[in-house]
Amino acid sequence: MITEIIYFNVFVILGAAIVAIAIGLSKLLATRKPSEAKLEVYECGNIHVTGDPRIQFKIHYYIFALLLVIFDVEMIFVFPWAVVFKSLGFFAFIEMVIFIAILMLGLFYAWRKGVMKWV
Amino acid sequence: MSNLAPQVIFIGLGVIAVVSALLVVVGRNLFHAAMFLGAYMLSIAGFYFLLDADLVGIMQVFVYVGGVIVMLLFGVMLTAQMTNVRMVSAVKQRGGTVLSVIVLVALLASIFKKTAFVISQATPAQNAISLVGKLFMTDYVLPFEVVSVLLLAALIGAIVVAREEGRPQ
Repeated sequence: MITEIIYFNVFVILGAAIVAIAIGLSKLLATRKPSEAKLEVYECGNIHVTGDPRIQFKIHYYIFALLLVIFDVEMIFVFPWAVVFKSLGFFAFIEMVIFIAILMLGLFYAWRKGVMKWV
Repeated sequence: MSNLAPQVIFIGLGVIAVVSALLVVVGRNLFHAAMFLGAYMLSIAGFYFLLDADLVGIMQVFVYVGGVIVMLLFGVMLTAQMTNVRMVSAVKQRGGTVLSVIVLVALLASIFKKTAFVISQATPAQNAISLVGKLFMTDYVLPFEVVSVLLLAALIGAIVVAREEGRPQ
């Protein structure tokens, strides 16, 4: 437990330090000479950005979020398998192939239905 | 040291959880509320890790923070005129809210007082992830494969529902 707590603290300190150093250094080193052009919103290709940045996204993208959740759950099942894969041998490999193949059916269904098209 | 540190971590996580949960409810910006919900779920994952439940903690991070929050944010961003709306909760409901919170807290407190909590003497399983992995591949092969069929059903169902309703004109 103690070693884990040391790990935890090291990670917390490192994480905080990286953020603090990254932001602090740029604050410290950067020169600030704001001009009108510099303060403009950056948008690739557009000279003058107009309108509200928060537009309604295409409803189509929601399916990608749904797919993400499904394959997230799939990954949870693959993860414990991957940890012990070496000690289990060929049978475990076949099992996982079947598991993923069944899910691939769903992916092909999505593909066939045109869900993957980037519109 | 060994007794104090988990308690400090627990209290810290608890503070983060309570504060972010409050901000979800109190916040007026839907986008921020979803973000704070993510923070709340991360702190819950921290509790799991603190309890040596590695796999559940990883699940919490991947599925809830990684999946559900992304889906929520998509839902917020897909909804027209939603991100910029500052939601104003009706002041009229304040009395009812206070009353229901008091009743809820009283009920929970009475349950909490009456319950005799049993602390298990068993030591938590070490290397839970590899243990689960081994069991998946040996004793629970069939449930494991059935899960993939269940996921397939969820996948196809999600596509069918989302496509029919979301088809642009």
